[in-house]
Amino acid sequence: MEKMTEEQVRTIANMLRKRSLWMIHYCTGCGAMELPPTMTSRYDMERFGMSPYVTPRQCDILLVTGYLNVKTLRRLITVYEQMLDPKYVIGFGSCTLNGGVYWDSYAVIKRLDRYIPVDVYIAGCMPRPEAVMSAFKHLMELIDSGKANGYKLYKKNLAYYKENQRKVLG
Amino acid sequence: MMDIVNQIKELDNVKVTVQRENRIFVDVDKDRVIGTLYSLKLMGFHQLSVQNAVDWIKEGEFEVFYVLYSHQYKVNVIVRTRVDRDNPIMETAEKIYPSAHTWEREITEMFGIKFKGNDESGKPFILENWKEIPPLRKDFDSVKYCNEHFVFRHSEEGNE
Repeated sequence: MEKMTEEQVRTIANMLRKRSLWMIHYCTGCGAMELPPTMTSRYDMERFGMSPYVTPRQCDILLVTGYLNVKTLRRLITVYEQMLDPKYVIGFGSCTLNGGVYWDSYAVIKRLDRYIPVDVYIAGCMPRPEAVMSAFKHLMELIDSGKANGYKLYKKNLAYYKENQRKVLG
Repeated sequence: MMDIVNQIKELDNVKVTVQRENRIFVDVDKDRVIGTLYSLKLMGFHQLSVQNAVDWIKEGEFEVFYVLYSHQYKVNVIVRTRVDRDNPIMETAEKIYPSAHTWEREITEMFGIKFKGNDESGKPFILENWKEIPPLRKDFDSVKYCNEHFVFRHSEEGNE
């Protein structure tokens, strides 16, 4: 039998990865309210191959649900760094995009992608469960085509992300 | 309910306003607030629901209020007092209502009002590495702070 090339191995690995996505159940803001219907019988995301799990070490997806204040960001970065590669980040709601209704708050950070790399954003306040699942579907396509490279960017541009983190966290 | 209003009116140096049923405001001086709280606790107001402050910047004063509740009379009593804005120091209420200990830590952090007798007043509570003036004071400019510390996204920009 011929030996497979590295490219072929990666293609097969990506195809398998996208079929089994485990999401860490770490809820930061009000967006966590949309997850119970998404996970349970009403929308049932498990039929797409996704399920929530408790520890960061065994998860692939970090779903940032809603606003992040400076205090939560410190914990979020800890959780993100505990996760093993490959890992993907989904920014949920307008708060992670531009601060949302908390645009003038002294405590809430405005752009998540300055602190950790984000693969998919969901706009809206609040995004409905359909939007969450559409984002997951989009993420699966990105993984399949090898474009979801957030975790590689974090390693490559670590100095940039750390500098931004240090600026707000001190 | 009128019994309890009459009982409160008998206290020294208080101004009682009945705003509506079950809501009585009691205005006292800063020096007498602890004594008033103690008398109210003896009357049956065993619960301190909320303690917080309001910044009246034009009058140069902070208002500190205590919301008390009596399970016996089903009445809320709100004890209000004013503190000078330039020298905000008060007596602690933690000896009477132990839950005031945590409320006072929050007020110290958010308004900068010091509480004598509360040894944790001034210890960091919610904010991390805060170097500006307390954030709930009216002269704190939140938008200016955001512009200095955070980067906004403009609509044309994409993901970094």
